Amino acid sequence: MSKCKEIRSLIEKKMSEPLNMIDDKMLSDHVKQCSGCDKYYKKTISLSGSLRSFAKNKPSLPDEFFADVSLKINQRKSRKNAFTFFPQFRPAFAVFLFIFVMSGIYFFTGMEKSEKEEQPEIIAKTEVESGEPVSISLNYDALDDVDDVTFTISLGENISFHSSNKTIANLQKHVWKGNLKKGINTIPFVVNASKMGTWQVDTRADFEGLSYKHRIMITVGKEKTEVVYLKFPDEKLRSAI
Amino acid sequence: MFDIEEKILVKKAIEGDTEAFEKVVKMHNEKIFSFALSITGGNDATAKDIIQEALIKAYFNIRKFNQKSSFMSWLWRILRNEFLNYKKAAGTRDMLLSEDFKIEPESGNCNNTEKLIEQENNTRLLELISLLPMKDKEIITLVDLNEVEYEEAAEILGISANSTRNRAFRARARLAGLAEKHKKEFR
Repeated sequence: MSKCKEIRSLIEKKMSEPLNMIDDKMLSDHVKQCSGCDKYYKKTISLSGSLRSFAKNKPSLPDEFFADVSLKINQRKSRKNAFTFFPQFRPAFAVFLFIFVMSGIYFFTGMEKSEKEEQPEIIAKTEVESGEPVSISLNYDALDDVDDVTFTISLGENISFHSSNKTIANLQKHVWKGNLKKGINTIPFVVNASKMGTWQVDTRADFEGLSYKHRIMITVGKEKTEVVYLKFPDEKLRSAI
Repeated sequence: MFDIEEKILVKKAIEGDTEAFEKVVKMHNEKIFSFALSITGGNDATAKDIIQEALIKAYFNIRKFNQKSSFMSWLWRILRNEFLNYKKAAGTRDMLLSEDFKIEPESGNCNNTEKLIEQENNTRLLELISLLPMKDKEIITLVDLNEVEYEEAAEILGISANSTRNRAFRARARLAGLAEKHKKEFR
């Protein structure tokens, strides 16, 4: 080992523990004659000093930081709870057909349907805090029991199902068969829309040659997320005509 | 006494008490923050972001904490993983040496020269530590920046006290080498 290399090892050793007298003397004698080692020695001394100085005045996180973390935890907890309130998208879910809050959508009004798609009409609006999951509820008011309804939820760009279950969270389209019971049938589901902009969710219920379509426009702003429910005019399924 | 208090708080946190969780992580405030700063090269905002994510993950996984090791040891592993994820996402180490990295000065306290020098030194120090391998960062953060005893550091890191001592020795030597290589001056 060259002398300088040996001295450097001693310098580094001295950062962690005191040297014995012989080594210490050798080091101090060497640095007096070797400017390179002297420079390195001084640098390690100042570095050690900086480490000690940092330790004496360690930065710490303010209380507000922890309070903010707790707040975020509580928000996430409430989201989780909210979701468990609605059974996740299990097949059974499909059978019961969820229910929703859009006011006044009637399936059996016997209205004439246009075969062309017309402009949807706004039937409800809600608002939530941006960053929060969006709970969507669709109401179907059935005049009688209806079997074999095919329900479809299609998520547009930047929308995902809010679920801790990855399979569900990664779905872009969910299709299932179920029944409608006479009266109000509500179908709830929860989505995430984190990116700013306007995004959409399309839903439809197909049965007996008829199709009932809805669109939910979700506009994510800085503070609020606006949710607009639209209903398309009822239409006959082409395949059934 | 401290351990008992910590155990009670951890138990409550496992039962879902957010306030207890907040208290128990606050007990390790300085260790957590200095570790994050040493990862981010002193970038205060990024350090806080990483810690926040790690703490949220810790809370929602606290039931997995088997209480055989110390809470800090368990939390440390979560922090380390979060930091590794951050590093992967951040890309190269070299970017940590950008001028953006500095500790935010405490408000109203940066007028005196000593304080400024100290802050400059801390920034340089954290930049250098951020260039060390993760194992070295951990040991320097615990033993040097937080003056944790070797035995306690060993417990947190899940290694022997002897290995901790040796690792600290090597880490300091590497740090000195980096200071020379990157021409970092400390006053």
